[in-house]
Amino acid sequence: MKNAVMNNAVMSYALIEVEAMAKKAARGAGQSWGMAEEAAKAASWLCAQNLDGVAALACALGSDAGQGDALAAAVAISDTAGAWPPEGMRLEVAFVPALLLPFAAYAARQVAQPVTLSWQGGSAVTDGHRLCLEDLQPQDLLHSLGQVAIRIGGTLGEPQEHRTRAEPDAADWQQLADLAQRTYAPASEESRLKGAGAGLNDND
Amino acid sequence: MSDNRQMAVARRSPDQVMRLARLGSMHQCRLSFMRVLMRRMASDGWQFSRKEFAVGPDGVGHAVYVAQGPERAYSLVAFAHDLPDEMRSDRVIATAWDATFALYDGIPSAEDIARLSKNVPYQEAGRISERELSLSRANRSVRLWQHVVSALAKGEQPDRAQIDAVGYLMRTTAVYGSGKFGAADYSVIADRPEMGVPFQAEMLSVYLTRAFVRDLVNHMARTQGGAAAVELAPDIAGSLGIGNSTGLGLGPFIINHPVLFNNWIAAREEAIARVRALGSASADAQAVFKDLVARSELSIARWRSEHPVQQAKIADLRQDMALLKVQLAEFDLNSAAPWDALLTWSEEALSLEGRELLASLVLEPYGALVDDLAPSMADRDPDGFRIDGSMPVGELRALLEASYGWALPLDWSAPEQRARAWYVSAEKLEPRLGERFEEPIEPYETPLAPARDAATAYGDLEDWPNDEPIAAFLMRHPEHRYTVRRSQISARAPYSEIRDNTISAELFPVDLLRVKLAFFGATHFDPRSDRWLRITMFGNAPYPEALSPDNADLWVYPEAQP
Repeated sequence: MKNAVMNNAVMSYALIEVEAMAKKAARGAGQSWGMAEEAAKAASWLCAQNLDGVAALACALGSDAGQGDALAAAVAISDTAGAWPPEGMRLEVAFVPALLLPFAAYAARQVAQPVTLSWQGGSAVTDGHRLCLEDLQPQDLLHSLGQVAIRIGGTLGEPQEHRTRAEPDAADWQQLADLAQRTYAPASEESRLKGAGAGLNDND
Repeated sequence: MSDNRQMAVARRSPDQVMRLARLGSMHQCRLSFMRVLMRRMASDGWQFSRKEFAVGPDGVGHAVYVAQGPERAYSLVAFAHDLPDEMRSDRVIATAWDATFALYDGIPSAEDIARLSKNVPYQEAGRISERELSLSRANRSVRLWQHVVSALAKGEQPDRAQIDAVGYLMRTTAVYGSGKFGAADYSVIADRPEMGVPFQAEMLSVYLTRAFVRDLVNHMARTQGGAAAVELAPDIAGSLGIGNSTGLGLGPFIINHPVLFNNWIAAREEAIARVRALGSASADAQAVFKDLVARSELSIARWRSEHPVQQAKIADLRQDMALLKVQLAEFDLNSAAPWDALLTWSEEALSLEGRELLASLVLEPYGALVDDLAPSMADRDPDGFRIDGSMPVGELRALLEASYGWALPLDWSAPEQRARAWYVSAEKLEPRLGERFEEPIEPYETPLAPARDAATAYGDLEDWPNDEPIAAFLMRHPEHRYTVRRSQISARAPYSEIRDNTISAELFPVDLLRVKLAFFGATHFDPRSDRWLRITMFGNAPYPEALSPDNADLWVYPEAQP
């Protein structure tokens, strides 16, 4: 591949590229296609909120312990929105807290109210479209913050800048690419001829 | 038109419309993306200019074509190359092309062009940026290019029969947009009025490519013939479109974008229903329709294919046109609800090709009634993807039965029902279709068989109580998340699911490609195998310098030569 031109610059990706890569990486890591779609939308949503969705997914898919749990717990937040007890939800441990945010946002849209996630020493509030971090650095969200409380309500402060591109760390991107590679069928002459359907001459 | 409505006519049912044989017989219509683009550019008074044409006598160089709309400009940056014959291939495995293109968002600077010149010629192996909206390439028609250049160089016009037999001087292959290879995401431009209908940037890029190709063939003829050379006659240039070779890569799109695909089909079905609901047809409307029936015959006469499946379909369509003419001679379009009567007749009398052509043709006199549907073809629902976990199992079960009722009784363990598997090749990262029981591809299967997956989910739901929330089922069965999502989408989007088996031994994959290309506005579908085909885009269209509200609408139907 001839990517020489931009090799030294930071690569800028369209969010749909993040989504496509994330979906294949999650699938390559063993997730079902439906869960992989969730992982993909989540990674792209985080990037749109100026957070490193690629790093978050790389963290979640990279740790053998808790990988499936991290995504399943996140998905359950939006799947059960509207059925939370009055005091909200509580997760004993959030492996990759960043991954919870997109699903909290979906929940906020569903209940048409802000949703607040609180950890020891910090919190995040989303109204479904915007996200605001209180006393948290984006980097904190990539590692376990222990117990997290999720409840309906909260006041949105200064929201994260909205982005239309992502500039992930090259090593994180490569980690996703390596996982994605597992979803591709190895090349074979048979596949080249039959699978893509070469037939009549295409140079006339 | 309100005084001309009879009682509401329902849209055709998904069971009728969403069969592959019918989708694979669809034709362009007023709502096709090329048609929408041309009407908008004409009515908004877009201005076009050739800002640069720096192509040498060897045919190598670049050119810039600017389309200036009311608020924004878009520029095609074209690179012409000297491609050895043996490297020319329309397959995605190609690595070099006769010409390569990017659509730039605005008017490019010299720095932009320098940057693009180091990336665009390499296509998938290069990178473009958020300033670009599409990336594409084209190869010459070897048959026609040389003939046209040598004829013009000698001061003669090319042979009309050869022009008609091919229909284009260059074929595009992939036209990548929407964030591919670093281009701007669609969401960046989706709120612009001129980009609100799907694929407008890609269609604009192809339209400007057609002008570049005409200019390039004239340039090459001048280079070869000097003072003796003549320019391609406007009527011949006008009849030429841009070809396109489309492979399997396009097929998964309509399955992977169920809401979007629904919106395309739903818009056309709503348009058909509105026209069927008309109590009468004015003399003007009848005249437009009859004129276009005649012009369609001309287009069909020029439609050639070497593929036996398509040859048979074209033969059927020619027969359909003969039947239609007889019917129009006998049937009184002044009778009540004439379009409804005509379409009802067609369902019994014509082949699927003929029925779908007629369904597109009856829309033509009624732009004022149906053109407002075009913006509804975009997918603007940011929550369409979300699963409602509170939906009771019983409700989900009913959705599965509604969308996949036809698929539930099939024996999905039978080899012929799942003979094929879709996968992505490591080689070019392109979708391919293989034989599940003959190739080692099943571990790599991509989810393009929603009906099979729905049947499995339906089985696993069997013992779940109706009032349990679907979220509980998904906790136990995350593998059915894909199906649950699609089923919930189908509740809002009745035309989202193809009602045929997309991994059957009987699948003719070109059907999946054809319906998408028809919505683009393509004509002259020419399958080259069961999984790739050629088409013509913008054939008979006015060139940018001649585009006006008078010729922006019905150009797709050729007029008889004087």
